[in-house]
Amino acid sequence: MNCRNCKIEIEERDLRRESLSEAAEAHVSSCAACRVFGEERLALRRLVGGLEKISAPADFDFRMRARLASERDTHAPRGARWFNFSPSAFTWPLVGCLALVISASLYYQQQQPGAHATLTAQTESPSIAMTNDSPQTSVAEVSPSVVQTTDSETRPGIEVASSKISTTSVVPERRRNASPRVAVRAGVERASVQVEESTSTGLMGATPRFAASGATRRSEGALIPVQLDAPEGQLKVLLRDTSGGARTISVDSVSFGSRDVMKRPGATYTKASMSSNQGVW
Amino acid sequence: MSAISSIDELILPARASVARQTAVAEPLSDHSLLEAARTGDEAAFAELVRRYRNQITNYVYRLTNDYESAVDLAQETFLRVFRAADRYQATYAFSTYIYRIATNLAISELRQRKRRRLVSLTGFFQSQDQSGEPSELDPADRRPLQDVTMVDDERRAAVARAIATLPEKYRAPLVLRDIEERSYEEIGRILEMSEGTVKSRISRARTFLRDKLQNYL
Repeated sequence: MNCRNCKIEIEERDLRRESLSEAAEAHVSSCAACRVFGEERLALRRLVGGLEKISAPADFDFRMRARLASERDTHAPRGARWFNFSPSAFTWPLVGCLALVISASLYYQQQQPGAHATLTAQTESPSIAMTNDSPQTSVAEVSPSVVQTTDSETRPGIEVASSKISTTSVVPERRRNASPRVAVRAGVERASVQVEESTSTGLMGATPRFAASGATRRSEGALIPVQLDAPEGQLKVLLRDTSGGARTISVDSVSFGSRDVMKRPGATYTKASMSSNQGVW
Repeated sequence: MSAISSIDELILPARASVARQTAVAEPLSDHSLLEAARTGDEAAFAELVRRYRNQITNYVYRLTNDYESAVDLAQETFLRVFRAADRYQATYAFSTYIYRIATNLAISELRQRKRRRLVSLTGFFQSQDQSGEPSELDPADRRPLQDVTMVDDERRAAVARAIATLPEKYRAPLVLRDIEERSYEEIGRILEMSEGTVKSRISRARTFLRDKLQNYL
């Protein structure tokens, strides 16, 4: 056995159970360095192993149980902590209530027709917001849709149609009315244009009325329903853009015969519903 | 109504029943006790605490060289055992498991102390050991000895100080081997390192100690 193996054996042996092997004993008796090493290690291990054993204090169990009890209180079920009036106990219920209030107010705002129409008139296209400034005038604020004409000229257009019967397209003439110019590009959202609508009152003396509210109009998609008994004559549409420019265009009325039926003396007809009592422009 | 004669009767009502059971039958293994503690048997957990409280306190004290923090960490060790009872897997001996928890807590405490930068007067004379780690100077006391009892006390104090000045990575293996008398295999499992590393570190630790305690050898 060489010194290295002998030292390893001295180092690793269990003092209580193991003694050195015969080969190691023989080497130690002949090698002074290994003998000194063995004696030093033995003395050191006895010195370290001879340290007194430290005991736990007498109240160890008591303190242990106190800590366990406080641990249980900390990890008590949620129901038990509900009545704990610490700030943290109210955090989640408070957050929940706050979220509920915010979502309810958002829902309520979405249900408000005026707010929604105003919002969409500013942001979406097409959209209409109707106001009745005078008995003779109705103003519809319409953001124009783009109509691609055959000569590849892009111009703002407004589609005015009955919700159920037919559609009439109103296209302002740009060549005749240069101002206001609405900068329009195909596929891009444009500035909004106000459409003021009026009829010549000389014929029938009545004023066309727009029955639907702004929100309803918006949901119908730029439709302007006109009552069937509306006066005959030209529909004048005033277009206003956001830069302040305005122009008026005239649209001839179109009748599909229902007006004549109503005028016929002694004619019997049945009005099915309010929605059927609508003319077309 | 019977009178309560001691605090143990008040706080440990179930321990008596366990003691009676274990007196009749053979003592339950650590695994069985922990299994019972997992199902809510507080008496079983109290028995586990009783078995290991002194060993763990002694072990942590030798690592930290501070009795109060040793007691505190020993209690924390048992608390962690109790908390993690559901996750305990009886792969190794329970003693290995609890010593590992105690070691980790003690090492965390030592590192926190180091972060707090407790200034030691002897720290001004810190030197580097062979592995390049800083080791605190702990010069041998060469004063003449006065009394036999004082000699023993002084020797114990010197040994405790010398152990406390060992680098962390050498301290735990040495304490586990030479004080707690654990096998190399178990030390390897506790410290999660190979047996060869354990042997090497213990050998290095003894060499450090021999240099520091040469006057007591």
